[in-house]
Amino acid sequence: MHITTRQDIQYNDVPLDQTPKLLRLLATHDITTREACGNTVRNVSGCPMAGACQREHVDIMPYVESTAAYLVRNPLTQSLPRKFKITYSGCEADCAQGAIQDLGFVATRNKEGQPGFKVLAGGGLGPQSRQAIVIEEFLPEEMLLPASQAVLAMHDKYSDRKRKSRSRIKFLVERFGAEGFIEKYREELERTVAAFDADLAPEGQWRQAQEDAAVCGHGAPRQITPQHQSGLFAVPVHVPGGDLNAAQLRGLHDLLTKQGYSHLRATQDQELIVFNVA
Amino acid sequence: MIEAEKYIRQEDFDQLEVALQDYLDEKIDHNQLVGERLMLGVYGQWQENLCMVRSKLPGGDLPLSYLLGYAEGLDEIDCM
Repeated sequence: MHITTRQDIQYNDVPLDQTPKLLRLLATHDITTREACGNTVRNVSGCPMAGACQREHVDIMPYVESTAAYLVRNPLTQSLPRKFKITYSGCEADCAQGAIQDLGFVATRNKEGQPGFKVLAGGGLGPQSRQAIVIEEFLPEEMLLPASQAVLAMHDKYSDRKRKSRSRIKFLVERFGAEGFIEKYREELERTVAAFDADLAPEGQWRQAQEDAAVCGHGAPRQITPQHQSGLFAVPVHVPGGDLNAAQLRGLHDLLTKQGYSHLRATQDQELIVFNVA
Repeated sequence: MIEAEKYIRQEDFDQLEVALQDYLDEKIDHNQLVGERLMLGVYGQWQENLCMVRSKLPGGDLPLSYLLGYAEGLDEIDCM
């Protein structure tokens, strides 16, 4: 097994004729592969310390989960011109790397102290790497899903379906210019907001961020790190090359289950973290 | 943890199985199979008839029960 830079876990070298059997087997454990490849909304990623970081304004996981669930099987995302990558960061340090995603949400507070998100779009790596532009300095949380839909609608409508290598959001920023891109985004947003069922908007538990705490940085922390929950620590598990075999998977399961844990987190630098260690 | 009923539907697997059989029987071409399998996280490798299968973990959330599922997959499938 291999942990990826989008916090997925994948198998390599599976014979084609055995793939339906593997998908059915994984499904019995509630593991999904739906829309993990191809021209889809790829795994929604987030900061490694989400829910535990001393600097975070909010645990971004409810937004990550709502966005992923809202967009899977969504008619808008079933025939995109190309893949689309979304990430959430819990504070301005942007440990989830919104600057290099198609769409990045960075939790912040405005001058009045109200909670919301800075919205980045059009970032990306590859041969023509580009830093994302800011399309919203401050967006209230109830607007996250309509904003995602608006940028996806732009992708669907304007991205180049003939030239795959030019079919990412960063090329729309190049084509329209930052101002033109934002203008088109706002046109779409007006429509997506009007059509949005507000009951579906995720709500986070906002907290007072400890702004003088150390930035944990991109990827996973390399050392035992204090959480914002007093007396609890995040413990990184080093996974060389991001690879795990069956014995290691079962060993981790047995060790952590015996200790009363129920979850791990896969991180963008292909490691694991155990949270809430006393 | 994902809302399983939103992501996992048996008809997806049924459809992939039909497409795969049609492909093996040369009733559909490679491109038609690609469309089916990519939506289900099955990516072709350059090695003929070998695939990468990717599971989706929003935010990297990994329930410990999944570890047993992944291990079982490694046991059951003849990964080359």
